[in-house]
Amino acid sequence: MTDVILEKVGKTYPNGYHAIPSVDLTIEEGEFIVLVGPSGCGKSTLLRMVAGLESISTGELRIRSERMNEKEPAERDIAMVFQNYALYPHMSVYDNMAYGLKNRGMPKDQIAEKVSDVAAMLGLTELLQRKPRQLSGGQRQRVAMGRAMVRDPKVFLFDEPLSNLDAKLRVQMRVEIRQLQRKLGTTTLYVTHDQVEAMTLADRLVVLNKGKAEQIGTPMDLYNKPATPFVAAFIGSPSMNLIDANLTEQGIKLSEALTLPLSHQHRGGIVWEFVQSTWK
Amino acid sequence: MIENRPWLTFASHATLFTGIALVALPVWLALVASTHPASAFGVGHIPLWFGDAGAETWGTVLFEKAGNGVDTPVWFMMLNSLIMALGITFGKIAISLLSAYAIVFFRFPFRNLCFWVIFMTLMLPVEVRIVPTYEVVANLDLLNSYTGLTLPLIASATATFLFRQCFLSIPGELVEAARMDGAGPWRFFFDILLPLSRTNIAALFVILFIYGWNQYLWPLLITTDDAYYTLVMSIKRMLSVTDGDIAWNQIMATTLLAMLPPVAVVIGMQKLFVKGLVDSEK
Ligand SMILES: Nc1ncnc2c1ncn2[C@@H]1O[C@H](COP(=O)(O)OP(=O)(O)OP(=O)(O)O)[C@@H](O)[C@H]1O
Ligand SMILES: [Mg+2]
Repeated sequence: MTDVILEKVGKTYPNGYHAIPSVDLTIEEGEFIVLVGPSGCGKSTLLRMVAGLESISTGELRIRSERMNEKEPAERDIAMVFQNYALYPHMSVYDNMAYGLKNRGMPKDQIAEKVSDVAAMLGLTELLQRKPRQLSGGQRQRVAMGRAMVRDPKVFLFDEPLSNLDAKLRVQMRVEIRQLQRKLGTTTLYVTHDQVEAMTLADRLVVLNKGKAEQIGTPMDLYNKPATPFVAAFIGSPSMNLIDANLTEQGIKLSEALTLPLSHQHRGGIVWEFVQSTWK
Repeated sequence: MIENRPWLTFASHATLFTGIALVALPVWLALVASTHPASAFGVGHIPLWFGDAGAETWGTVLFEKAGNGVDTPVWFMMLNSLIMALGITFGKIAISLLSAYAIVFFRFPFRNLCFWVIFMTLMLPVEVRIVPTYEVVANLDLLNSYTGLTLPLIASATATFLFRQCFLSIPGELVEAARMDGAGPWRFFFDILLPLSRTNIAALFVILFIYGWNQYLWPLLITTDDAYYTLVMSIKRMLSVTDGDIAWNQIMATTLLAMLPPVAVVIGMQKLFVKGLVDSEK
């Protein structure tokens, strides 16, 4: 079942900056979608439009076939984990997690049950009475995730949630996020600029470049069959070598001296696909 | 600096004690003076040790009448002062919290204009606009009333600025997280904003309470009825007796009493006050 549909979604900021021309994306239920791309390519913008924190200038966003463009963030049944966690500093871990439920008018005992369930799942039970400033970075990250999870949202949104953690913890949290997501089966949209994170987490990747989706596909698809030179250069480390060439009747002309015939199979595989895409 | 030189310790303590003595001396003199009979001051020297008329003077001043032409007891004027000071304090805090909230978190037409209009009131303290303000208050029939005492002093830009700075330092992600959690404008204000500016509010409370308590010119101008006299202004009244001796002992006792509430507020809220001025826990 399709869960989230972005149809020709575009964004023009009030200052006239055209951040995202038009993006089409269909997300299946339970899918883990990662948005990657260089800094400033519009990943956060796209995510925030889904969240409802930025207005959608053109196109339509549907979650479970319901139009969301005009809905408030709280009415979209989504939860977001922010880069700097954005925990309420004056509230205990428990209150941080309970706040959203309280605002929805859920009865107290039900809230307590929910929070303690999620806290147990994330190993936060001991920390429920602490204030955010008494927690380590990793623990804060967990609380932020807990706050998103207690609400049983239809969609999780993550904006570079691990970028403030050290390398080792990042790997550990990555695994944990993926496991939790599998267990809960919640559709997830995840922004990162770290390719390793992107390749390991994603069911499907969206590579963004200047607000355009260059390619949408599984990690292996993107790695083996990049659709554009941008994707080819962006994915992989060290990155792929790119050589300018001309396609002529004789074959692929790399320079005056060197022309590769088109039937040159043993090198041709990758080069040919690449050339195909540039030719288009 | 970790140094352990005995003479340095001695010198610094000596300096401190001298400072304390200098500052405390007038208070001490006032205290001593209030325990002597009024006649003791006519002879030209100031007593340095307690006399024996203390209980009588303090009793009269506090519960019967302050003397020197002021016929209301100090406790009553203290109550008036308290009502005025607290009215000004809470009024100012409430108004400036709300206006700062509007300016920082809402996008409405002429937002900048509003900001600058508020800013301009900084240049118009009561003393500057006293004649027109008096006119307005008189026309509204607010002379000799608590409303008249407090209202014209409440609108102020300083506190608005303080809260504006405080609100601006709240990270945008926090505001967005609250939005995702379904907190509307009022919920956000009461659940997030107020608790986060708690220490600022406390610091401002101290400053504004003292400001309100020490108001002199405005109450002097608009109260003619004993029932609304405030403590600070009536000290001046007590000094301007035309006939006979000034009863300094009564004046000193009244003055000391007038000092007490601000001192109590400062001491009581010291911790929060300092925290509010240096705090950056956000
Ligand atoms: N409020 C705004 N007004 C105008 N332009 C904006 C605004 N916010 C972002 N932009 C511009 O939109 C583009 C995309 O920004 P966005 O924050 O989505 O980038 P990003 O892909 O998340 O980058 P990063 O990886 O650095 O977080 C940038 O060029 C940015 O300058
Ligand atoms: Mg970003």
